Amino acid sequence: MKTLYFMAAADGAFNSSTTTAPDSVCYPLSAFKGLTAKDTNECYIYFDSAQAAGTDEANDTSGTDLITFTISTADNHKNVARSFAQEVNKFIGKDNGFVVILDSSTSEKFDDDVDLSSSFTILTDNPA
Amino acid sequence: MAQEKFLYFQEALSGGSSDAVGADDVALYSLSSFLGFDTQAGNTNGTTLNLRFKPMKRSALVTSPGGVGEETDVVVLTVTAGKQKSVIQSITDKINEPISRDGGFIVIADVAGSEFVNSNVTGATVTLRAATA
Repeated sequence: MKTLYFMAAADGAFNSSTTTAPDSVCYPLSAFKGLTAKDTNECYIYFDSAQAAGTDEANDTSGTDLITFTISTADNHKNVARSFAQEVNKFIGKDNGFVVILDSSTSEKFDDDVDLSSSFTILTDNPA
Repeated sequence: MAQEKFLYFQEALSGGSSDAVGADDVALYSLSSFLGFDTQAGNTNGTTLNLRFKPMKRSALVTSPGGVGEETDVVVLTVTAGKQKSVIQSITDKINEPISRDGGFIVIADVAGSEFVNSNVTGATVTLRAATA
């Protein structure tokens, strides 16, 4: 099984409060629902919610978790999407299935065009 | 699931003054989200082919029903009249290519970049269902 790892906190401390989204999330690949454009310099990635069947309708998610990140080059979504696919499909022997997609604490990222200094957020759908 | 194929779609630019990528112009789905092809509600010229996917924004836990075909994301390809079968065959061929050939990334239709899986595809529109019905 592949797992996709995200860490949004620069200090990598895993210590977000109980009332905010977690610093870090990690999903099985089977939870991936899709990647789309937010705008010319931002992307969304959706996953099946890890926590609950909430109804976070204000954020246009429902039973889904949402990752938002910034890309430096305008309209570069296609190349970024390709990098995502290739990162996920790296030979499993190289990472034992653990795929770091974005990590603000170590500056690891799946594509050089991702700008971790700009918007990178994790929004989890909380239990209703 | 150790590896996965991903299907990429990009419609015409809608951001800015239609010169930049806008919201939902792009869709990348895993193959496991693919539900099938159909030509329901196709135009009378027979020049459309629908690819349906599990919705990326909406979970199966949303119980408010929509109308027929409204519970899925859909990409409508514009194709040469009568060439739907050929397009389906090309897409199936790409899906079944060794993953080492494309890294698992398959461009089905990129209108902005004029890249299509089959020369009979000339356009695409992406419709992502909202989180609620």
